[in-house]
Amino acid sequence: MAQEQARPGQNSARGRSKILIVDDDDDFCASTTALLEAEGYVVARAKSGKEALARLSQEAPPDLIVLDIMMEHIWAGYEVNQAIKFGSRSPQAGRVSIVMVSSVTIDPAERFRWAGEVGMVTPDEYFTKPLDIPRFLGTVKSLLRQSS
Amino acid sequence: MVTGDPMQTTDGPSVTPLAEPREAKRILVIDDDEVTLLMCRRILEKIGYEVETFDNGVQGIQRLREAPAQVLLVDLKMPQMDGLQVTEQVRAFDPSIIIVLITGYATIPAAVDAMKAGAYDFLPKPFTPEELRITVGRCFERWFLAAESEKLRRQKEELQRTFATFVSHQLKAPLGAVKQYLDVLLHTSSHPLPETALAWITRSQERLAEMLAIIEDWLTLARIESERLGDKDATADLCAIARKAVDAAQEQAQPAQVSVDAQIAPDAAAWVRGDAVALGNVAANLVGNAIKYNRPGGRVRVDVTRERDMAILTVSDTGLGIPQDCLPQLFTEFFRVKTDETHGIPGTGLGLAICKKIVEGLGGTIRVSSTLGAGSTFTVHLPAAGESALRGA
Repeated sequence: MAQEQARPGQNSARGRSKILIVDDDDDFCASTTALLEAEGYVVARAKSGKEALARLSQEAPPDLIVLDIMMEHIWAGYEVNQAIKFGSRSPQAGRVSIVMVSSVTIDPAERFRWAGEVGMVTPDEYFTKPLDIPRFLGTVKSLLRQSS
Repeated sequence: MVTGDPMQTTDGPSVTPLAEPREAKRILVIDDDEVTLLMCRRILEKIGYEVETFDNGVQGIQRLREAPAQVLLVDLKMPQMDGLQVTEQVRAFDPSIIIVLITGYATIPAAVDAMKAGAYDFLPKPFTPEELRITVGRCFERWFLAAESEKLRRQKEELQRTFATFVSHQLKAPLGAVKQYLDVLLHTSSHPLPETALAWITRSQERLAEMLAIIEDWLTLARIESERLGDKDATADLCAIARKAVDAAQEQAQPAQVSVDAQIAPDAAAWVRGDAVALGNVAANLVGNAIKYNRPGGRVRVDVTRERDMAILTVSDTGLGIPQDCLPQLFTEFFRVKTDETHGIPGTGLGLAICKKIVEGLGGTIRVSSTLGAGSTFTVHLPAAGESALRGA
């Protein structure tokens, strides 16, 4: 279907935007990877918050991160979000967009108002699994456009 | 939080962590009569209790703040601070302590006052060693019972919390993963699928979506039942909630060719007691139903008004209407109206049960009137918050 080429990103060798999926659920990763690759993005994966942080400290940051909330522990995703948002304040890090995903459905406004109150940085967007595909792809596209 | 006495409400500051039952044995005695203090100490220490005595309320209270006890014996009539005042002050910082008033004459009004202040029992003077032992023994039994039930209550709460998390993550996650495979398969497939394959995949997506919706609704119910739907002191603007529900419903209303309008002035506000998320759930449910059980060309009207100290949300539609014999069961969990017209309309049968639980949990009522074939009107009454709760509506 929609096979349009994604906007070139500065981080990938082939000039395509690089997206990191951080999730412990293999099935969710497999289908989300297929979806994003079909759209022309380069997709990498980390299986835990810990692995994500390790990758981010060693490699060039991706353009966007799809981040699960509950992984090795229930706040693992928040920790990664926090680390990236603070870490990306350095000029050379550039801006990394974060799309948070979770099976838990809570009004995102409510959820992140709470996160804000305890001093957490809120992610750019929030999606409930399974993803609303058109809305998800639209969000990814516009976040990548903003950060370029 | 420890509930030490049936007179006490369960709301209150949380206190010292529960001592291991059967190890707890601390008693404080406050009496201006030295002989009574001496007698209490001798009798109670002999049978293994730890006893501290004070001849005035101020010092006794001070000591209780430093080192909590399970039982307090306090004389009703003392110069300066009397037993009632001591009871009230101690209750304020320790809801779990069992208080017994020692008194020469227990009149009924004095007894009522003492019970109101949080005393558990009386010990009439003069008392025998046996009477003292029996009374104190009963106090400790009472304390252990309260501690046990508090422990059970905490375990139950913990179970509800972990169970809801378990359901969210362990049940929803696999269903969501399967549905997303199908969604992505259809979205990315470059070749047209065989007709039957396409039809079955589509049907599977629908069935999975229904199941996810049931789990979601069921979780909401569980959340309301465990009283975790937000802050009890919260207030919300019913007008804003209604406007938001109407805006959000447009996406559903357009393909159904149903018009949804809010009859609410732009500057109107109607503050009610309750959590905005929970009340948003109610409004969205009612408006969603009014669209779902409707026909092309139908209308939905949402109003917010005020009547004395109640704010009223009304959602009326020109839809299918509800058979009279279904109305009594309409708010029951998993009940769904089954007619030829409702056949094939997706739903979990939990939406209105959720609405009722939320509304009644906030001290309100929800009612329905309906004419089969002509439409239905749902009316939610909620206690208004504050005097100038409604402006301009």
